[in-house]
Amino acid sequence: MRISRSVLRQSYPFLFATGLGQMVAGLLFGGMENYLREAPGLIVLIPSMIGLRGNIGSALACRLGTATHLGFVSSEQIWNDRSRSEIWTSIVLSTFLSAMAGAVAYLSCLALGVEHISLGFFMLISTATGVIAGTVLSFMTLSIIFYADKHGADPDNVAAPALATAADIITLGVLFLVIIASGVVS
Amino acid sequence: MRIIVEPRVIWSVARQSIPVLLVALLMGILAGQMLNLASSIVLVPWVLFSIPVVNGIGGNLGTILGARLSSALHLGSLEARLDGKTLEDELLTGLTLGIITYGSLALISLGVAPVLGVEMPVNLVRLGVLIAFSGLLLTFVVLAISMLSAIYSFKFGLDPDNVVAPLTASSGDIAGIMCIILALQVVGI
Repeated sequence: MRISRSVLRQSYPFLFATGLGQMVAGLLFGGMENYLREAPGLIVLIPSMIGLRGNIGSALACRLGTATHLGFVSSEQIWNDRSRSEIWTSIVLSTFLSAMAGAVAYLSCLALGVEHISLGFFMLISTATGVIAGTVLSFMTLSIIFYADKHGADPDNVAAPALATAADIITLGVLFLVIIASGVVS
Repeated sequence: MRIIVEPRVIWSVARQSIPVLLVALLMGILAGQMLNLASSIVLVPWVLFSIPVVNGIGGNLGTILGARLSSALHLGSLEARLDGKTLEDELLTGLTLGIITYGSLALISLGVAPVLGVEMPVNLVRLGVLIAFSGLLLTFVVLAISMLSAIYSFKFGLDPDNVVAPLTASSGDIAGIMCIILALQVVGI
């Protein structure tokens, strides 16, 4: 048996860096403790909100990366019909699926008979977070593609991993603000 | 070149991603219900702090191994079987990667978490042990999921590239939370 040193050398710095990024996400998650305590059931929503944004964000990054390779999008032509429709699609998906996550979280609490906040608050918090975080992340993806292309880097190697970590931090940050603004906890 | 994009095109992209996203959504809700059921031990700042760290690295580890295995399967350097030297080497490399990544992050977290202002346990070392121990458990689970999904999806004529990453990421989240809850029993609440 042989451990591949080159894989360790290439992957470890990347894993370590994302770990540091996740600590920022962890800080935000830890900071929500009191809100999560006072709004029973709200924690059910969090893993799926983070997961959805990560999936939608990295799919957008891959699609825009491919569009760049095919010459449909470039740093000179960053805001055109192609990139606009990709961004629009990802915001629509983020909004629609987040609203669903809110409803499913509520239904799962009902089914298990655990204490929970109202359907209205579940859906308000999930949908608002979906729209805001989805929009921020989509434009962030486009800027990463823009800079990668401008500096001659392959967007495929940069955008998706960077997005996955950024998605966690931004989703938790927006979720935190939305929870405070929603008034679910007085 | 000007590409005209019709709503039809937007719908076709959405339609292809919705099934995968729905599965991810349901797995996420399942993970969330686990957190909720364990909320008496999980709703503590330093435990919440460790969740994204443990789960994030677990997902990435699985994706890296999955991507390497699917490339090797496509290239023919790996057979779709559960034995063989190449597979053993890949798993051993993944395990080593998991141990050094979680180990170093556990150490660093002892310095970083207090500086970031995370409310810490009375015995600081418990945060490090929680990350290292649940990370080690999760490494085994994630390596198994990505190995099995890569080999069996290839065996059944699917492209592992389309299967392994979403499957590892969403089942890894559930497994990660289970590993943290399990590790908390060892570390003490």
